[in-house]
Amino acid sequence: MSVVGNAARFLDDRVNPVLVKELRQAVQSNFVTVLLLVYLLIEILAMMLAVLFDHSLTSSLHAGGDVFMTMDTILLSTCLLFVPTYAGIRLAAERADQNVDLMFITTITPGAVIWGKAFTALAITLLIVCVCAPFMMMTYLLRGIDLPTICFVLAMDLVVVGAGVAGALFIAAMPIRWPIRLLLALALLVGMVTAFSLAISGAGNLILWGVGSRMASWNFWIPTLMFFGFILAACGLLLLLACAALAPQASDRARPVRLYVTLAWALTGAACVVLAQAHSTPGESLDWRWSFLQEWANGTIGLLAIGLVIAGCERDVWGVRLRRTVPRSPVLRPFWLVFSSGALGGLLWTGLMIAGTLATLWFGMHPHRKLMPHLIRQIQIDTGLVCTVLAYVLVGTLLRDHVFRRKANTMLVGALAMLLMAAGSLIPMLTAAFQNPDSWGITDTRWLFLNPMAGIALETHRHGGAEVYSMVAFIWCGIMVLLNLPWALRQWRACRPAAENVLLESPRRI
Amino acid sequence: MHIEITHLSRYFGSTHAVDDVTFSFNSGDIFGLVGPNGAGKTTTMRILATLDEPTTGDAFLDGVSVVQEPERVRGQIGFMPDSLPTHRDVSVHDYLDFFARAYGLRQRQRREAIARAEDFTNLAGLRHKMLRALSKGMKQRVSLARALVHDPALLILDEPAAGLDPRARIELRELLKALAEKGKAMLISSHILTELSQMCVGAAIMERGRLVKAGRLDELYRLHESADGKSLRVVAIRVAGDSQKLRQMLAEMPGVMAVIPAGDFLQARVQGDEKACGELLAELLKRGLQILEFKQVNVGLEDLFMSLTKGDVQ
Repeated sequence: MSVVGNAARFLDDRVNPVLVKELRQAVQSNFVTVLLLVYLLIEILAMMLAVLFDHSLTSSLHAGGDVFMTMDTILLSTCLLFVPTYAGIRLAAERADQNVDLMFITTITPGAVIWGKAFTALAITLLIVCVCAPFMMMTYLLRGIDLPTICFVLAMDLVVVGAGVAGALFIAAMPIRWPIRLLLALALLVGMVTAFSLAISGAGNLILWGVGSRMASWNFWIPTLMFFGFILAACGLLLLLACAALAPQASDRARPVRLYVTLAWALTGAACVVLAQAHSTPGESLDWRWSFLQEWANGTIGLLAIGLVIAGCERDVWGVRLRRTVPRSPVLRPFWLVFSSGALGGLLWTGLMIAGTLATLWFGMHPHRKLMPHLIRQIQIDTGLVCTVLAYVLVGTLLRDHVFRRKANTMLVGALAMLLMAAGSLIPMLTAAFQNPDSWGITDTRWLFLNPMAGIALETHRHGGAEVYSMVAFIWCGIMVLLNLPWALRQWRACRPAAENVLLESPRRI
Repeated sequence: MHIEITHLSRYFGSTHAVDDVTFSFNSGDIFGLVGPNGAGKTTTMRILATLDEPTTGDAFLDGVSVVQEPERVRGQIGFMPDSLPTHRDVSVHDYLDFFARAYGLRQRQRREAIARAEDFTNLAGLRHKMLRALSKGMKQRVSLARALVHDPALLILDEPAAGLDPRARIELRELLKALAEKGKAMLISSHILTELSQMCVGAAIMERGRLVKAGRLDELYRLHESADGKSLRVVAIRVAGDSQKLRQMLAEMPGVMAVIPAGDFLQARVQGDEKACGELLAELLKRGLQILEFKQVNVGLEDLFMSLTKGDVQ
């Protein structure tokens, strides 16, 4: 048997089954074929109209760039609208409650399903890009654009569409009701429209500057790679969350997500610190290299604040399957607790990540003394934000534990936290507005103590009081931690290997 | 393989689709799941097939929980749902190929598995046809082939004969018997009880999400009881002339639970043992009826179902 034949058979066996099926369906589907043909026709028409009727083409030095922009707008809008929608709707239909696709009861892993779907979407995008790439390359001959710019913009388009696909697959995989799914889809649509306009304006700037002339400079590559790195890390997280949503309820859904986030956090944080330390003139005002560290910290804290609410919704009783994985060594158990599915572990992990982020920010910026006041203010704001969110989550936990006697689903914790957060943010402000319609102000600290975004509001309006707000949030959070100690201790005591465990109650699913 | 369902419950809000259901069966058994619409058969099957998760309770395949470790049991389960395959733009062969790949079958193993499933279900001639172009009966066969492609130890078949013509139905019955002879465990739900009783060695009867009775058929027939827990016998009676008078008499008699016409006979479900049947005969003779035949008949699954269920739906 030939080497090529063996290699082909080896590959045939290893190719993702979902990718094989979806591509076979796409090839045999009239819809995809018609769409590609119509798309090709539009591209040819756009090119022909520009060449035949735009008389400035012969004299303009930007003609190629202009035609390329037109084609890129058509390409990106088509891909961004069609591909994520196609991928998302297919997966959501296969996951529909009463008509779950039988693929999900085969031995195929959730990861294979999600990656298969993502690769299929990427393959379809590549197919569309390949259809129009020859026409786009021809714009080089019309002047006003170089080949590296064309390739760079096409790569950027692929990343943007990939992010859209990751978002669509995440929403489709989530075990939520249709109205909420629709709302999330609308939010994604808004996000995609924003990404589209940013990508198109970015492409316009790149054409104007020319990528080819900047390729030799690290000042071009560092922000570019950082930017793409962040987007790809976010896509990876969305796809991993989608995999977790497809995994069985009894499995340890949180561990891969936490490990990935920890790794991505460490890598991106290290890159930002290295970049910030490479600043040649310490003590100067913030330049773009500093802003990467600052934005990294802001983004991470924001995501981890959401993570606190999600962690609060996790299980507080482990099933047999999870308890079997508890290490026998008491030394390893805390690590297991922090990285495994469970509310206490989730809150501890998020807390540690937040502390780590603030520490990274501190050590990354503190050598530059002129930045200290700014740094301290930011840490106060971040502390206030996460302490307030954690306090709300712990109020939710306390209510579920005592008022609902642990009988309600743990999702109630998140629902209560969100509800209380909304009430705590709005009611004091509305009360103040009704009482003193003329004199109350949005930055009045008295109305903001229950609002997690208070620090940001105060900072935006250059109003003092962030330190008082942070202190109140910290104390409130501390009280809630103390009140929830019995809940935490109960989980810690249950963190024993299955054979040793005395709490053999089976988790109740509702 | 031993399949055990223990205290399984599935609630949808206030509706108890399955409520504390417990039964078990083994390899080589064809086990029937019987009940009126809305009895919870499909939900029970979906949970066993790992498509749904119970509110409480569990099901085990050789001691492995379908709730805790669904990934470990999926390779051993073949599920044929009551809905037909609706995949667009896929041929029969590509459909089976996808599932064979999804179950991790490689190269030659995969080709052989697909060929075996296609041959077994008489689909070899249709392998290149698109799924959407197939008739309902053919789609049923594709569904069965898909359930068989990875050679599972347990087959869960939800209404496998629904919509099939009589010939296809007989063929399916023979196919299933052949599979049972190969040692496969099978859980089948069907409304065609006469057919089911010809295949099954055991049955679980459900109503309103609850298990009414479960066990081996011979045991169920032997311990046949009415809904209130008393023993039941079925007797067939043929009289000279009009049977209407007999029907009226039987309906008025205490201890007669139901009267059903069966050809020239009237079948009466009598509460009690052989002595009660003798007393019934004596009473009828006393009332002057000319009885040509009076015989006790074996209870069938249909009789069992009718006497144990009340026809309640939820």
